[in-house]
This record gives sequence, C-alpha cells and structure tokens, in this order.
Amino acid sequence: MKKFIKKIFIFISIFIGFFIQLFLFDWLVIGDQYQGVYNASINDKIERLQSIEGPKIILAGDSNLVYGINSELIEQAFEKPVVNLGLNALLGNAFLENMIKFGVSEGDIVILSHWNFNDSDEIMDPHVALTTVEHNWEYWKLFRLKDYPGLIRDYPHYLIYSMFHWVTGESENQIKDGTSNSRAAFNKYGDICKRFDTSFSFSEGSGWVPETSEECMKRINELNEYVKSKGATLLITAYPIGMGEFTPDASLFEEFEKELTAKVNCEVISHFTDYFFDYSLFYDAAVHLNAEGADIRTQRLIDDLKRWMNK
Amino acid sequence: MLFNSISFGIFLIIVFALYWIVPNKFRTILLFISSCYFYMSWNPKYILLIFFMITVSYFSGKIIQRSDNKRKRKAILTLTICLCIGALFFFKYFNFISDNIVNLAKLLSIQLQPVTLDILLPVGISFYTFQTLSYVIDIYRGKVEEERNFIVFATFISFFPQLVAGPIERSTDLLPQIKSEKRFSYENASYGLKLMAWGFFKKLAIANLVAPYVDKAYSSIASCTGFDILFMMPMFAIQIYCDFSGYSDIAIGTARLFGIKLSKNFISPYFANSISDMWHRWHISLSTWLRDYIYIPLGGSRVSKVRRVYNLVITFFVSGLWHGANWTYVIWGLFHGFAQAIAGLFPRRNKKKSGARNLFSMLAVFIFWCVTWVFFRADSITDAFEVFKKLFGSVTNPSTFVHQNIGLTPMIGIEMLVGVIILAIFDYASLRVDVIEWLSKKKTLIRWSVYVLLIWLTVTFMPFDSGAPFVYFQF
Repeated sequence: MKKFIKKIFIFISIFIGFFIQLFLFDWLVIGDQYQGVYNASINDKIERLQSIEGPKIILAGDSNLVYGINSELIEQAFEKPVVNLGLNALLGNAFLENMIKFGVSEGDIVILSHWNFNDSDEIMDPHVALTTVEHNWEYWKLFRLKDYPGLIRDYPHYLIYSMFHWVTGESENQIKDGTSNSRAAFNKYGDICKRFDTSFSFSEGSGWVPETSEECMKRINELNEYVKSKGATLLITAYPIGMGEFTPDASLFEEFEKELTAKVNCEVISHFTDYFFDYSLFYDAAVHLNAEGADIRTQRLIDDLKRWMNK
Repeated sequence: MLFNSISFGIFLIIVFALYWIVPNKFRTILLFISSCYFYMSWNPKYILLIFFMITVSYFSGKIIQRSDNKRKRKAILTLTICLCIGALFFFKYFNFISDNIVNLAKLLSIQLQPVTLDILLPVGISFYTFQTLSYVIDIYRGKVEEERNFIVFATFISFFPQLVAGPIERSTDLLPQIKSEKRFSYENASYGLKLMAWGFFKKLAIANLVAPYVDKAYSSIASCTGFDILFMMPMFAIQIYCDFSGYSDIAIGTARLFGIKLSKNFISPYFANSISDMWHRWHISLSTWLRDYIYIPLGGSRVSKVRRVYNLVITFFVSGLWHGANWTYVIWGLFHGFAQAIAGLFPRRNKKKSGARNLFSMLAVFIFWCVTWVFFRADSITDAFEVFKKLFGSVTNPSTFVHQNIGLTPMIGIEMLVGVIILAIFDYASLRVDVIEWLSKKKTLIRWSVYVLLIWLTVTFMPFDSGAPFVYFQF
C-alpha cells in the first residue's frame, strides 16, 4: 500500500512538473498567438483609454457597442474624447465592466450597455478569455479568483491551439487579415469600421425581453461606487433591439426598464423602446447593427446624453 | 454521481482508503453502504427498487435451493421472473406499451385515452434486473448454490462500479470474490488505475469530443447534407464505442482497486470480421447473458435452420427491446438478428481469411454497424429513414456532398483524428496482448511518458463541458 501511495505522489509530481514545463514553454517560447483577432483589440482600447488625459466618455459592454456605435459622432457632439471598450460577450459582463478600471478618472462619463442583465457573474467562455488576455499580466487582473478554475480547466486546450498557430504560423496571417472579425477592422475609437456585405435574418427566439439577476445588479452597483470614488459618473443605456414580427410587446421592455431603474443606483438614461430598430439595420447578429444602424443608434444615445446633461 | 465528475473522484478516494484501512470482515458491508450511497446520489427513492429486487431474489434463491418439489421450484422461479421483469416493465416499458395500444386502437377506429406514467427511469435498472435474474435462474438450474449472507448477496447486486451500466456479472464470478479475504495488491491497484485512465481517455477525449457534432446533426437532420450524414454515421459508431467501453474500463478499473476482477465487456469490436464475431466482442456480458438465458433455452443452433433463424431473431429482438422502449431499438436488434441468421445460412468453409479479405470483411462489418447505429441513435423511425434519404439523395446529387452544418473546426477535426488513431492502435494491439500489462513491463521512462501523455491528451481534448452522462446510463 505504501508503495502504491508513494508512486501516486511521484506520478502527480511528474505530471505537475510536465505542466509547469509546458506553461513556461508557452510563456517564454510560444508567446502571443492571437494578436490579430477581434478580441486582441483590447490592447488598442486599453492603450487609448490610458493615453487620454482629462475627462472622456467611456463606453463599456459587449459587442452591441462594437457593432453599434459611431464614436466619432459622440466626440463631435460633446467635444470630449471617446473610447469604445466593447468586446465579445463571451468574456462575461464582469470582465467587460472591469476594463474601465484601467483608466477611469475624474470627470469621465462611463456608459454601460449590455444585452444581458441576467448574467451569472462568470466568464461565459474561458477559451475566449485566455485568447484575449494571452500573456499580458496586466489583463490577468481583470479576472476574479472565482474565474480561475475555468481558466485552468481550459488552459491545456488553449495551449494546444497556441502551439498549432505557432507551428503553422497562422498567427501571422491573422494580423494581416483586415476583415470584419479581426483587430485591423477596428478604428482608433474601438468601433468596428469594416463589415462584410451581410444582414441578420431574425427568427423565433431572436427577440427577447431582458431580465435582471441579483448578481448582475449587485455588481453594477459596486461598479457605480467605484466609478463615483474616482470622481466619474456611471450611466446605463439600451442595446439595439430588432423591430419586426418576432419582437416581444413594447410594454414588456417598459416593465424591464422600470425594474432595472429600481434595482441599480446609477441612472438609466435611455428608454429601451427608443432603441427599436428595423430589421434591415442589423448586421450579423440580433444586437449588431450595420453602419447606417450604428449612426442612428449613436444619434439616439447622443440625444439621451444631452437630455441627461440638461437635467 | 457520474464517473467523470469531481464528486465521484472524492467518493472513490474515501471509499478506497476506508476499504483498505478497516478489517477484512467489515469490507463487504462498507462496499454495500458505499454502493447504496452511490445509487442514492442519482435518486434516493429508487434505492427501494434495488432493495425490492435484492430481497425478492435472495429469498427466491433460498426457497428454490431448499425445495425438492419441482413444481414449487418452477412456480417460485416464474414468480421471481414476473416480479423482476414486472418492475422493469413498469418503469421502462409502461408508457411505450400504452402508447402502442392507443395507436393500434386508432388504426381500428377505436378511441382510447392514453394512460402514461410520469416517472423517471431508474438508472441501471436493465442491468441489475438481468444480474438478479441470472442468479435465480442459475440456482434453479443447479449451477450455483444460494448465497446465505444477505449483505454479501446485496453487495453482489449493487456493487457500485458496475451497478448502473454493467458489465452484467454472474454470481459464479462475482460472489466468491466479494466473500473472499482480500489483501492489497500493488499490481491489481496499479492495473486498475491505468485501465481507468484509458477509459477516461475514451470517454472524455473521444466520445465527449464527438458527441456535440453528432447531436447537432441528429437534431437538424432536415438541414444536413450528404457530407454531414456521411461524417456523422462513423462518428456515432466511434462515440458509442468509446462512451460505453470507456465506462466499462473505468468500472473494471475501479473494481480492481478493491481487489475484484470484473469480466471483460469489449475486445476490439471494430476489428471483427463478421457480425457474429462482432457480437463476441461487443457488450460481451449482455450477449453472453442473452445466449445463456434466451438463445440456448430456445434451442440454440443445434436445431433446424428455420428454428435457428427464429431463435436468433427472438434473441436479438429482446436485445433491442432491452436497450430502450422505442421501436428504433427493436429494429436495430432485428437487423442484427436477421443479419446473423442470413450469415449462418452460408457458413464459411475456410475460416482463415487472407489479409485483404480480412480487411474487406472488417470494413463491411463496420459499415453494417454504422448503418444499424442510425436506428439506435435516431429519435424515431421517421428520423432514421430521413437520415438514409439524405444520404442516398446525395448520391444522385453529389453537389450536396459539401460540409455545411456541423460546425467542425480544423483543430477539432485534428483532435478527433488523433484520438481515433490512438484508439485504433490500442485496439489493434489488444488483439494480441494485454496492452496495459505489456506497457507495465517497459522501462519506467517509456511507460511513465505514455501515462503522462495520455492524461495530458485527455485534459486537452475533452470539451469544456465534459460532464455529459454515459449513453448507456439511459438503459
């Protein structure tokens, strides 16, 4: 029995040793392999956020911002620099919200836009998260302790994909690629400016009424406290909603808005029913707008912001 | 409590440690309590069902053994079979039969209200029912003696590694092992762990990797192309083999940790060169059970050709029905029954085949299995025919041989290929040697490298959500 237990411990030690070797190989030799993909735009977004001195407008949330905002219009309207921090929803709302902590400062206006207020406060896809942060220690601060089991669980998978890209040199191709889903498709503000010629076809289930979860509301209120402590203001706006045969009744969105307003300590500056857009304005997903749609949605946001400022 | 869950890992470590710490006389009761806990983790109420089966078969065995009255013995045996099969019928087949009666009545223009039971199927009911029955029948036949110790007998029926999906053990093999005094054997425990690691590789790195793509294809057959179907058919064959044999290996390996040897359930089945050979390699504990308790009592093969066909078809009809309460399983079973019967009508003169012929036979058998698996996997007969319609429709319209819906990325494809190649090498080698024992004799550096690599590949290939239950748990 002693021999058996001893061998088990030796084997576990060897396995951990093997894991550490691979980990070091990944960090020291393989390096970043996803620098050309969509989520790698986090580098440019954070860089812009940190480079602006003085009051600015920060947009935080999921891809409804990436494919739905024309930051230049906001900048012109308010004569303040704008940073669009929107990224893939699979990173989880907490990760997306935490990104503002890299550069929020006095006088900033932080506008939060999620399509999901009913999240379970976790990373939706750890693989996407690993490919986003890669080997940047700073970005690892965006994770909470509770995110680590999922990240560790996916790490071998991430590693083999990285090795594959490293061996085939595919990461180089990603950087050259300037199409819609690459880093090169973003403009300096962090908006997508290159799109394919496609449109989203709505069907049963692609229109939904948002709900709230306790975890999400608690987290937003904590974020509000943090933003306030930095001398900035947190606001919530609506995401684009497809208007057509599959759209739920408008009164349900009004009820949701009331519920959200009651549960969060920051201001909800938009009426969700004002963000109903014709199906023809949508790009490749139920919350992604095409360029024309993005301009219209931005104008509504500008109007909402002006109304809030004039209060 | 799935084998591929952290809770099972913790449970196993605790039971293993306690088992070898407590004195020998308490080990059986510890196994019994652990098995009850294991089963109750699925649904606590259903422990009563196992107790019912254990009690009925224990006392039936006693009465049959001690009675000299043939009629009485037969009556008790019949009553036991009725009670055990009755319980199985109630939980597994009641709704199926009720639906079929209603449908039949509809054809005769009679309106009947369907009577359905809203109950969950107890996990492993088909397995432990068959294990219970074999014990009572063997006592009736005079092949085994009754087990006097109730706890030993209850442990035989409920032994947790094989409780929910087999192998279906015989009392002659398992009971003496449970009763015997055990000493810890390093070789046994080491072999058990290695077999478990191999089982986990098959389940997590192959079956669970393939499963989402097969499920996706079957859930949207209408939008599948010929390529999707052509890809899906062998993939399901790989999935179900790795899922079930992976489970069996984990079960056998777990039992070895407690010094108990369970019977082999698979011997490289996809290397079979005839359908009958395949059934000697696939789910062996079920096929031998069916042979001993249905096929041979019906007359076996030492009868007229027509009668042999009848015996085979009936046996495989039962096999199909055993798998599930759906006509798809029955058709799957009948296909195998008829195929074996037809093959039996043309016996091979020279059983030794040349390399090329052997390879051709293996391929033909594999294709046959892939085709019949469609009935096994499809939700309904209509769906199964839709699969074939799509496949054969694509032959007349080759442009549909384009991958469209599966969503398979090149990396996942490579992972699947690597998994299947490792599986094929292991299974091919298993035809000649016990690979685990063979590897154990190699130099430490070689074998430990293999073990580390196997575990590494398992954690790398397994999908993020790898808590999918074993396919055979539903039976």
